[in-house]
Amino acid sequence: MAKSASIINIFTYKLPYKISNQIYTEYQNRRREALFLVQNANSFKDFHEDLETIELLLAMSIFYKRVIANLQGAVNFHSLVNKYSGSEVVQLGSYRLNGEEKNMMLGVIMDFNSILQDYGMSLELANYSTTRELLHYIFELKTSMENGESNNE
Amino acid sequence: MAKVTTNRGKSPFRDKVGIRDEVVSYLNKFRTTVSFHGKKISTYFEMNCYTYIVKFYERNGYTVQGVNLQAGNRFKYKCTPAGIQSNFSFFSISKMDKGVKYSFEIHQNLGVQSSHDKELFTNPDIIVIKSNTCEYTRMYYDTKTVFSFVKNENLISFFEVKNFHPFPELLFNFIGVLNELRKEVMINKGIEYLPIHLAPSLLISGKPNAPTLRIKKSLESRYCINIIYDIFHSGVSTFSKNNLGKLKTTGKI
Repeated sequence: MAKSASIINIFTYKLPYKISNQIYTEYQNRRREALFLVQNANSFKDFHEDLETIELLLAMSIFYKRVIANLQGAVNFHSLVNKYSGSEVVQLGSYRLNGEEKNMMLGVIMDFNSILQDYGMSLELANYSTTRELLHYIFELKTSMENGESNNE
Repeated sequence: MAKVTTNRGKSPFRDKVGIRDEVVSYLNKFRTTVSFHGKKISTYFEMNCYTYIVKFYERNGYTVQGVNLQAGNRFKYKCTPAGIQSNFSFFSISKMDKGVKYSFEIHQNLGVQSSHDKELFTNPDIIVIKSNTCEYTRMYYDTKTVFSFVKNENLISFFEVKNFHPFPELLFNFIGVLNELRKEVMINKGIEYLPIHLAPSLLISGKPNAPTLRIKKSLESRYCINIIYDIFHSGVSTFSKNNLGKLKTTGKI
């Protein structure tokens, strides 16, 4: 997938229609709202130069809620089954979630968390109800990072 | 509001190209895996909720066991209402209380008889039933396909899980199911099943807004039920040992 494409298209590329559509729709609705807030709310007026970052963090947060968190749910269930039955395989229809598959899911989860941590963030990024709450989180993140940089100078 | 973690050097505001490149590389690396699992997301959410329900019982002193494993020691998960229940695995729970051993089973997608009409059934996502009370009939469908169900008198509790943002109709629909399966709860005459059981609950992935918080507050004050929002972020704490007491158990308000 080309790196110059819209970030949400990169996130949803080749995903099954249902989940892809959910992610895309939520992203577009919240992006519209975020743009309005940045252009009109005094508390977010310093964000004008950060629209690209806001779009990226918004897409990451939605991807976490709709994909990563659910993969974590499957991993948790596999562990539960293993603990209480000794079974290594959870069968879902024709698909077998075994130890190897679980580790692949863990790879997806851990690499995502790793990117967040490398950039000073946590899963709190996805802990919001309204778009305004997400912008507040991003605002706090930016303020904290800028303060950290100026203290180090 | 959210807390910011310690910055370890990189900044998504300063290194805009860097974080974008890392995210794109990450997505490309896992594209096939994520795409494959994308079709099963709703089932994974249900599995996550199932885990919390089992943990509720474990943390209340129940002995838990995964049973009815299939050939090859497979835990066969029932993803839909279709299928014969005895072909699927489930969790068995038991607890000694005042010298009496209580045993129950936690199933997914099993038909439950209405509390109003013996001919009507519905399939909650997760249910707790008395041990060995699952029944089978060929009289339910026109096609004479085997239908697995439990009689209403053997139902202990049920849980609906929804991988959605909460909205009013979703919440009120749950009250419809509650009315059908537990009519006594509608008039606050619910039965307190021993030793301890989680009251009928609705588990939702999304975070609430002000209107849906008001609805939750109102419904929980009228009926002995739990409406649990934001499972991904609040699930661990909601079902933690310290907070178990805040969840309603079967009985009256």
